[in-house]
Amino acid sequence: MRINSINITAFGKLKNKRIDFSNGFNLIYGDNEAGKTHIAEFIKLMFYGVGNKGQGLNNTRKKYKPWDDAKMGGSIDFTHDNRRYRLEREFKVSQSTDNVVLHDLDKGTHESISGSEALGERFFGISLSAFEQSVFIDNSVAFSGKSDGGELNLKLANLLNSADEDVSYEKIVKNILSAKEALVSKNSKKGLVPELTAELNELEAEKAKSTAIYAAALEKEKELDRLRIRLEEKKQSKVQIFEKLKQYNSFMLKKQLTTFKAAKEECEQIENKLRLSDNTPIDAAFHESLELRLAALKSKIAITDEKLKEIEHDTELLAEISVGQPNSERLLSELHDKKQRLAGLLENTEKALAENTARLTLLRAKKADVKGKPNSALIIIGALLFVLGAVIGLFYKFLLPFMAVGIILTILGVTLKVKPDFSETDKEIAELEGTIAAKEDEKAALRTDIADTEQQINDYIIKSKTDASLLEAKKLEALKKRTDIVAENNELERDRSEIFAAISRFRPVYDVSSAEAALKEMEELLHALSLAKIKAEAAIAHTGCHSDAEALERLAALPDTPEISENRAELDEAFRLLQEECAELDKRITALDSEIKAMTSGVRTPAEFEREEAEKRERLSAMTAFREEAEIALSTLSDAYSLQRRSWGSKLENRALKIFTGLTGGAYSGFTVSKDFEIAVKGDADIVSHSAEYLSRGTIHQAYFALRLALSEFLCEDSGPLPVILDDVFSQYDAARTKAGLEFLKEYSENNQVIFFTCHKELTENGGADLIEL
Amino acid sequence: MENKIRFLHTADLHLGAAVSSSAAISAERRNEALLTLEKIFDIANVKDIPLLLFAGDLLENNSVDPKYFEAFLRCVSDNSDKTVVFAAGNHDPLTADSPFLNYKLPKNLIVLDREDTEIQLDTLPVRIYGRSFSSVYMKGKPNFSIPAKKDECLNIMVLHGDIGYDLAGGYNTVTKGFIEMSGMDYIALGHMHSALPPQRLNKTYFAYPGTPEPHGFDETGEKGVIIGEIGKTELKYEFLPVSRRTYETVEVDISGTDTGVAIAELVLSMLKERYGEGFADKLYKIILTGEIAEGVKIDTAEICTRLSPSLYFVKVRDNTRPLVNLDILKNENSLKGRFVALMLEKIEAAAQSDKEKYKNALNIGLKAFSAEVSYDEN
Repeated sequence: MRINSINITAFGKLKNKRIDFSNGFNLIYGDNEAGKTHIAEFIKLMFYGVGNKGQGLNNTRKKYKPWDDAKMGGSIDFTHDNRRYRLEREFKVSQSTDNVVLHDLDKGTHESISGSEALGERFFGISLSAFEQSVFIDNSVAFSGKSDGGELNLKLANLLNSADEDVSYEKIVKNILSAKEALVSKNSKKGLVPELTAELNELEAEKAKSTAIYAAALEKEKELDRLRIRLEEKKQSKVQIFEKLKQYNSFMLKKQLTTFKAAKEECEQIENKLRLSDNTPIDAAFHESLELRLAALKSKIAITDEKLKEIEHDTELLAEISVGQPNSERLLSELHDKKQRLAGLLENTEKALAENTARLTLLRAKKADVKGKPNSALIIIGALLFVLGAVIGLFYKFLLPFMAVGIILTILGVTLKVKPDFSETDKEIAELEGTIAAKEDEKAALRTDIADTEQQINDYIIKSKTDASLLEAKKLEALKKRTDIVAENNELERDRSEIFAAISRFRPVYDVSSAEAALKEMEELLHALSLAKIKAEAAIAHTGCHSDAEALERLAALPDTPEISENRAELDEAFRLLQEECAELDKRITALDSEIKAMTSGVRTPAEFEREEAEKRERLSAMTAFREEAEIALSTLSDAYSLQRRSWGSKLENRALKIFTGLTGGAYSGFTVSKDFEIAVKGDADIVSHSAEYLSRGTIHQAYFALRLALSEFLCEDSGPLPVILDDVFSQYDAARTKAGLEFLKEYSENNQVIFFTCHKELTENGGADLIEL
Repeated sequence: MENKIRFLHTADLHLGAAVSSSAAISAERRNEALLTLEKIFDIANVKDIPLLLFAGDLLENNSVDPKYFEAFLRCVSDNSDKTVVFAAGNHDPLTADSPFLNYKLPKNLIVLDREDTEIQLDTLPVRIYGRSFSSVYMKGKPNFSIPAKKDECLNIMVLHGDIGYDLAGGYNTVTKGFIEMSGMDYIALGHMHSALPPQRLNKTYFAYPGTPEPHGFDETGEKGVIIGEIGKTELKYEFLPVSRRTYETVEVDISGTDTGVAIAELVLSMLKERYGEGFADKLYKIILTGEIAEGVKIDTAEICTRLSPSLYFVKVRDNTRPLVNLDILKNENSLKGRFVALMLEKIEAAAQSDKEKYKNALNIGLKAFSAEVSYDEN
């Protein structure tokens, strides 16, 4: 592939600029600001386009925007695979909007190309980055101002390892690892994945908790249902009882109202009876008044009668006293007789007493004169025993003691005397002593009676004298009382007439008894009326009626109600129990209801967790997939790196050394890259290699340039020789090495088109190159 | 003349639910769901629909702010000429804490019991069947325990459940057998947030309206309600979008652009073109695709910041690939060339299901050559 010419319509400061290139070594000379770099960039941008990225001068498209706002663009003629092409590009705002036309000059055809398509890839066979790393070599490194060579060394290492001076294998790995580690840290404890996993675990735990709570709540709900069913049953029972109660109440109401009606009728009947002759109704006050007046009348009559009785009694007593004088004398005589009789009795008693005392004295004396006699029986027995003992003891000595016993018994018979029997005498004495004592008592009593009788005689004599004067006084008093009672009796008769007249307005009465009977009847009627009224009131009391008329009206309206077999108390009790049970069930239902509400209040349902869980799992799955993909990328990258290192090895080094030797005029014979990507060179006379950091800037640049050229050959192995675009790459070289470099390029241009830009006039004087002056 | 009834079928509004975005947007979205609820009733009014079927998950849970349920009650009360049927779902089961059991409900609101239920409507020639969730989990049944009556009256079932085969699942699995044997004219289902247009098994039509107001990027596109007219032999229906906003996942090819400004402009122009006037009101997940020149770093956070003033909500994900000619690159005698060659070999050898994974690995590797790689989770 070679570039035949470029035709710049407008590009930065360049306008209507045409340059024709030879197939060999093209040396383009121009002073600073002549547009050398513009031309190099133009070639690159024509083939690869450029994005609109970056700000200010970093934005290539803006950087080369024509100064006069002309349409940026131009054309390039080139030969590829022996066919001539012309590439036209008008640069627009972005790469995708560029107008790109490719003319096949041999065929005379053309095609519109998408601005986004990198035609460079089609014709150079390499990507933009590879283009920039190989055939497009500028002096940016040379002019970077770095003195230690570290940056250059890094670029060389990158070139060797990745064939891209800006691409570090370590950096690529780090780029991927950092993304991976943002998800899961090295120690697996930090990062988005552990965080999300922890959130998921927490969510699952919360969901499990929620599920458990709702399961427990469900059990309670079932219990609640059972309670509600029971409550409903109880309520139905209550309704049944209530219906019975209603029937009962209806029945009872009718009964009560019927009773009320009967009581009212009874009242009416009684009230009809309780009327005076002039039809005036009798009330309790009227009756009470009459009763009080009659009672007072009766009391007065009783007092008058009592007084009359007293007067009669006094009269009788006075009469009795008057006729009682002779009797007093007879009584006194009787008392004297009595006294004499008692004296006679006393005399007899004293006489009998004397006789008994004498007899007693006699008996006592008689008893004292009688003495005792010896006990002959003992004496006889004692004598017999003595004789027998003596006789038999002659033969049988052991019986001799009987003689002693006989003697003792005989002595005892003589000593112990026997007295005669005085029991009859003693008895008589005792009887006499009792009789004497009784007579003594009788004697004392008679004496007392005699004394009393004498006292009575004396008292009577005194009393008789006093009674005579009193009698006269009482007679006068009795006369006065009689006069008073006559007056009272007249007043009484008036009262009686009035009261009887009043009562007779109800019932005719003739005496107190009939008046009392009438009042009694009146009282009974009033009492009956009162009872009937109470009965009526009691009957109407719980009916809710507010008037008799209402009660009677309701009674008339009530249908016939069958009698209820249960009694009210049973029904009430059953209803009360049901009410209590319902209240208790209600209480339990409310409590359970509240308990369930409290359990689930604010608790998210498992379904809510599921949505969040699904979202998090999706995220986790995406992260896991990314990690797996990153791992694949890393693993493949590692394989690619091994392949790269294996396939290049000393081959790249050898080619770089050959170029390096040419550039340095054979000053160096060795060119190595260490495992640590250190560049080292060895001179002909050197025994050891020199690390890049010990080399001059110029030598480092030559090594870099050599490696870039070697690399471009490797990168473009399959594409055939490509034009090499070099922008003042010898600026750091001394005169000898510049000369050597130019010689090398002359040789190199035999196979590759070389487009070399420089601002150094002296380079144009070496010859061997097709000079183009700007 | 055949009985026909017009109805509105909705479900899964999830009033009070948080959405997975910023707190401010989450709060606003919760309020917007209320507006959607009101809009549903407005539609019923405008279209003179006498029967509204709510197939569960009206609330996110039974503990949400009472204002959401009270708003629902207001809507029902304000439309006393309509019959509203509700079957509780797994999010708002008919448990002790359910507001449906703790509020005085309007007479025109029918809340289905936790047991299989049959209700003959007074005002319409319709019998309602169904049951509510009794807990946050509820197993399905092979069939409905109350056989549908066979007469001129329309049999409509309202049910929250998951269509499937496994009756042991916790979300009231509704099997095809259940539907076929139900004898219903229409089964109004809820639970799935994506709409399933009416289908017919045996003589029974069934459908999921999906959520009327979406909650995340797993619920993209238009969301709405089903408006239908059901008879004994035929169902006519339309799907009516009602959501205040939609979630959209949009892929934008940004090949050739290389700055945040250009990418943001490109994305906006594309959204305007695709969604027209209301494009700014949607919630977007923008996936950047295409090929980006080497060295260009896509800063999704910056792009988000640039887009945010113009869009209600946006997040950006970078799925671009470096702009390289792999066929050229793979032949390069460089580390990159060898890497590409090896990766292409691996992609070629990988099973079809793994190819994407290896392509992504290639992408990661290529990006790492020129810039830091980061896991993009914007």
